[in-house]
Amino acid sequence: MPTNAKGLQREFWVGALFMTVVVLLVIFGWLMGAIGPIQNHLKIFVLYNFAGGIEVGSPVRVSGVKVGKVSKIEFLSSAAEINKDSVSLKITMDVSMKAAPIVREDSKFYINMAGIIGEKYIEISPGTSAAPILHTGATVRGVDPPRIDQLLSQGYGVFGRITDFIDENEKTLTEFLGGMKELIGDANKLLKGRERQKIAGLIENLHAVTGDLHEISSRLKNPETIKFYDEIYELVHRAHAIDKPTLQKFLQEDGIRARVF
Amino acid sequence: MIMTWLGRALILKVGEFLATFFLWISTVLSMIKQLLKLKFRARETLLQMYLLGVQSVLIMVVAMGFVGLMLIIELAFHMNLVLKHDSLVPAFSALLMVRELGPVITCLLLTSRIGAGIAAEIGSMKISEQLDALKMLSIDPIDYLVVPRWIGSVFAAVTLTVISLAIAIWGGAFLAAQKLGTSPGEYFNTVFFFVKFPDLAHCIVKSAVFGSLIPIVAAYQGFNCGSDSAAVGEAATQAVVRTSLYIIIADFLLTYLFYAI
Repeated sequence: MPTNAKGLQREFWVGALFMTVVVLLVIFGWLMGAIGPIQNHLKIFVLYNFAGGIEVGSPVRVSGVKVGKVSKIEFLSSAAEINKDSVSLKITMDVSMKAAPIVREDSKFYINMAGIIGEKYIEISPGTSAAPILHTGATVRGVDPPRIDQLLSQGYGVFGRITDFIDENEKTLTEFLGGMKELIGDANKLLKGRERQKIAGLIENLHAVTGDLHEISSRLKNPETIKFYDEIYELVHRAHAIDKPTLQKFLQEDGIRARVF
Repeated sequence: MIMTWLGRALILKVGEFLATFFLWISTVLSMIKQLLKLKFRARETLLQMYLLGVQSVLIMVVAMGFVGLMLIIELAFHMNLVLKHDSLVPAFSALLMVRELGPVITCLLLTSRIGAGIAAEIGSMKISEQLDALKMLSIDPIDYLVVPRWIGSVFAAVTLTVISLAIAIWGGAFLAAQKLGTSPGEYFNTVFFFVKFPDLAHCIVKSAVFGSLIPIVAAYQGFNCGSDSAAVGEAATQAVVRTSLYIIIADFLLTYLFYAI
């Protein structure tokens, strides 16, 4: 009997160890996202041309809150056409149902970067209440992230052209910079030297002149001045209409004899 | 003269190496043959699972708990030294534990605890001619002695590795909260952003491979020990040394297979 009891005790402890490990594996699997006790989620397909480092398991966030993960990334065998835009990547994501009410047809799907080593995630911007809610199985077009390699390549080209320009016009640029340097030096001397008082006076006079001009212009805006100006304008306009015979006739009526050229 | 002596020594060494290698292979093949029969000695197997697995839990929990704490302190120091930032310490310590240190340290500790014991037990059975007695009773020593220990060792290696990981990760969470000010939620978020389920699967495969190496090498040393009591001690020492070496080589090969190809 004691031997049998000991055997049972051993069986119990071996079983307990085994069960503990199974429970730990289930917890690990759940925490790592390999198994989920609740499979209630939205499955959304997002099309991209460039994934920007997204991997299976990358988080999906709505308004910065983690609500799911990327479950699959696949290349489309023939590039799909969406609004005349060809796409080659299909990313499947599982989004928690609690975020479903704000994931709508006009939501944007960005690929963002977080943390100091730049882990990638998909950020969904909440849609407007007027747009319909996305349902499971919906396919939407994501916003491609900027391609840093392309930007660098373009920047490299631009810098190359600038370098060529500098190399080709080195003499002209040197002269130009030399001239600028001299000009700045002269201006500096002028501002610091004996002429400083004169410049100060000049600026003071300029200030007075602009003040006077300002006063004159404000007086001109007076209603009486405007009326006077209108009358002069009308007089000149009428005088302009007086031609040579009319002027001769006017003068002859008063007994003046004149020769008008 | 010298060349002849060197040639003889080389031939002897090569011959010894080949003989050892073929004996090794023969031990492994006999064990596989017994395993394929799928007829296990249940009571003996359960006893070995208890002795090798259950009785090693305490030492593993204590040792791996301290390894987890040491990793947090050491990685925090290194990351603060280089990056001036320690937010990724939990992720890197957990990743290092799951991918490398968890299975390797657990199985090295297991080797020192059970490898020497298996070699000494089989070696002393050999010098007291108990192995010959088993053969006379038509009992295959591989089937009777090695297979239950092999199953027990693989069970112990896998279960203890999973428990060690749990202890190290949860211990790390405690220390990170105390030393780095990282909340448990933040800790587990960072850890399980980087540690994925395939890492855990690879860890389990590694521990199973290392666990299977321990009884095979130890039993081989026991079966091939000399005929005096000093030889038993030598066999036990050699079992620990060789198993540790093979575990490290196997770790490199498996890491290369899983992550570098």
